[in-house]
Amino acid sequence: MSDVFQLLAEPSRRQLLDALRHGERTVTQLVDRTRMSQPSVSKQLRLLLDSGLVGLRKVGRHHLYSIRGRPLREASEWLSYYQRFWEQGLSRMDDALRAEARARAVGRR
Amino acid sequence: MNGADGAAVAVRVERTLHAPPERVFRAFLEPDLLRQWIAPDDLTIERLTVDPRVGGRLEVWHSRDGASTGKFEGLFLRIDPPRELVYRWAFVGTEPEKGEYFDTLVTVRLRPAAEGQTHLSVVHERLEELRRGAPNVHVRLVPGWNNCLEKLERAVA
Repeated sequence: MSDVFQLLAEPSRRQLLDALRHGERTVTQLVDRTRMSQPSVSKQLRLLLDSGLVGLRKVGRHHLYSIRGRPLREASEWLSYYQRFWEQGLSRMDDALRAEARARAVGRR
Repeated sequence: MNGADGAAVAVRVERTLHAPPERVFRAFLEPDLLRQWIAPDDLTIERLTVDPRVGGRLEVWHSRDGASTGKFEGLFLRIDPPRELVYRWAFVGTEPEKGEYFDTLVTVRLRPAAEGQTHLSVVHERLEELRRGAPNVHVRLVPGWNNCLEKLERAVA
């Protein structure tokens, strides 16, 4: 699943995933929603299917596409590490700046 | 993950800090201040050097329980005090000769907020480089950390 981020780096694929957020869609519905051409929707869907980001269910003649949560969840957990790296770093920075200000105030007294 | 700006794999953090922009800016460039925040709590900073000019480097060697955990390395691309700071930010593993070098980009923007405070935004992007090079780099760097935080989150929920 190491290339999830490469897949997400392409805006048209993000658009498709966004269009699938609220449930299953057919190719026609996706073309409607994204205003992308049918061949490019099909092409990008195939890549998303191969990666496991999107699943396919066949009901009669209809092919229904949907988001598969796990790879996205893994990717977002991976990213949350870096989010925390910064959030905690900036909290430490704020503490350090406040301590410095207090030390200066004492020095002036 | 981000919107239409193409920076798909990025994190953005915004924060108001209790110091004016000039001092917050210094916290990114002065060794004594950097030491107090730049590394996660369970890492010990062994050595820290800063050459605060465009093209200059920030290097932070760290360890855990006496064993080296590698180095953070920054390369300053833009220094515009007290407004903007841009640097390449890399994680260099314990075996740099094996080409363990994962290059990302950090953009820091500051603007004055009320009562001598500073509004700060940090965008850390190109994280896909890190992901490609070392999918588990943070696991090696800070094992169990996520787990601890999750416990903490549950505890305070």
